[in-house]
Amino acid sequence: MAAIDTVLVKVASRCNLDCTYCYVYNMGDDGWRSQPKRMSEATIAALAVQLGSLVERQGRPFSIVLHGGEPLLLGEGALDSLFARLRSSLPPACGFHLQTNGVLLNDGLLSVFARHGVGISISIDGPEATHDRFRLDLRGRGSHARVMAAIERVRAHPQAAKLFSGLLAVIDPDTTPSDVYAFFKSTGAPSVDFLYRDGNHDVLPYGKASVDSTEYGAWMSGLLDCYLADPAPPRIRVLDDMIKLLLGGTARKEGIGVSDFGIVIIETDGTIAKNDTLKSSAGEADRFATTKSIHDADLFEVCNSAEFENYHEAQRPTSPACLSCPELRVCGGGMPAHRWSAAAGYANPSVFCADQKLLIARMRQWISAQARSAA
Amino acid sequence: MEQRDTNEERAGGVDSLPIVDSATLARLIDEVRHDEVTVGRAYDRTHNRHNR
Repeated sequence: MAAIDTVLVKVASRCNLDCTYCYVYNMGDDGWRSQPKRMSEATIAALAVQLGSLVERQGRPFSIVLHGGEPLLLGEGALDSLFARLRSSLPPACGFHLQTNGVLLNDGLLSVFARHGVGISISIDGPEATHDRFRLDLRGRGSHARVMAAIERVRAHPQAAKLFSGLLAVIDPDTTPSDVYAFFKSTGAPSVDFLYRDGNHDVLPYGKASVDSTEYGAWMSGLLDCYLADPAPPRIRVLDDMIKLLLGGTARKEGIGVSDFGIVIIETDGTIAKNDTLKSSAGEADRFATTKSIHDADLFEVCNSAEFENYHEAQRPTSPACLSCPELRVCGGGMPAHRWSAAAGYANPSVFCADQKLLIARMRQWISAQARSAA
Repeated sequence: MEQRDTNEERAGGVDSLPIVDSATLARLIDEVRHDEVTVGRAYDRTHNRHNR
């Protein structure tokens, strides 16, 4: 069986933002239209029972990450009830986390999260002009000021050190990395992570001129230079993970390195699904052949099924170019969704292959230069 | 910074590296040496995908 280490729960299927790059709403999959707006009490009750059974029979804890849509749309009372129900079924080793756009975050919600030990990560892409270029509300207005207010609210909370996991940004390769780095450092966030824009070999990611071009690799190399030269930086996880792999260590980030990543998705109506980022590749690629739900199927058995095992195996790189690449241990072949083409399925290198090679080479230069300077 | 074949780092692992003067690299070397489990909690799974 593929051990589950992350259960991603879509507690609200709608969002109060309309980010132009969103893989849920703006990359061709309309599955959210058939979902209820919010997870019902009955589904939450079933979820608690199923997760309790999963952790007991699996014998290993996992993280529960609330997503959406926008998870705060579930509302303060329902979130309080959800976390209480889940904790009654799960050991403390199963951590609670939440990824939010921050717009609805208020002191009442922070009290709920503090009471249940929920780690909060807030999505923000950089300075106002960078963020508001893509992260718009339903009226087309920028959301930066409201997100900054949320960050300040979390940082001001008495339990900020436990509550505030960090910030999550999507890269705009048209920006200047040093400006974006300076912005994130100024927020006081303990950690920041950066994501490439979604895309694949048939639909190139925003900002990439061709599969062989290196706009993202050059941008990330610029960020790396700022990061490694800073005597007091925040943590940048994607860079940390890749450097640690170069140093012989391990990584925990999906799409980096070759370690397995066991994720299962619970949709708002209780449907069990595969890795939701697959939505950006083939239509309904995140669906099982027959619909399975926590209301009428055994989650542990679904996670032990041949189809789930096949899905899990499919996340590993299979293209000949990847399997013979000396950088595979660090790169890992990238996110499956980024490998997709209609012609070859997922048996391609990542569409960011050239970018990753450039970034890894820069990391090696840094490691060598620093080692020489200390010699 | 000149290019250099650094397969030696991978082959030799972290213990073959001298102390470096980048604060971040020094921290990461230390974390790899001690397999710092607390890092896994700090870098929780919320960071793995886009948000809306």
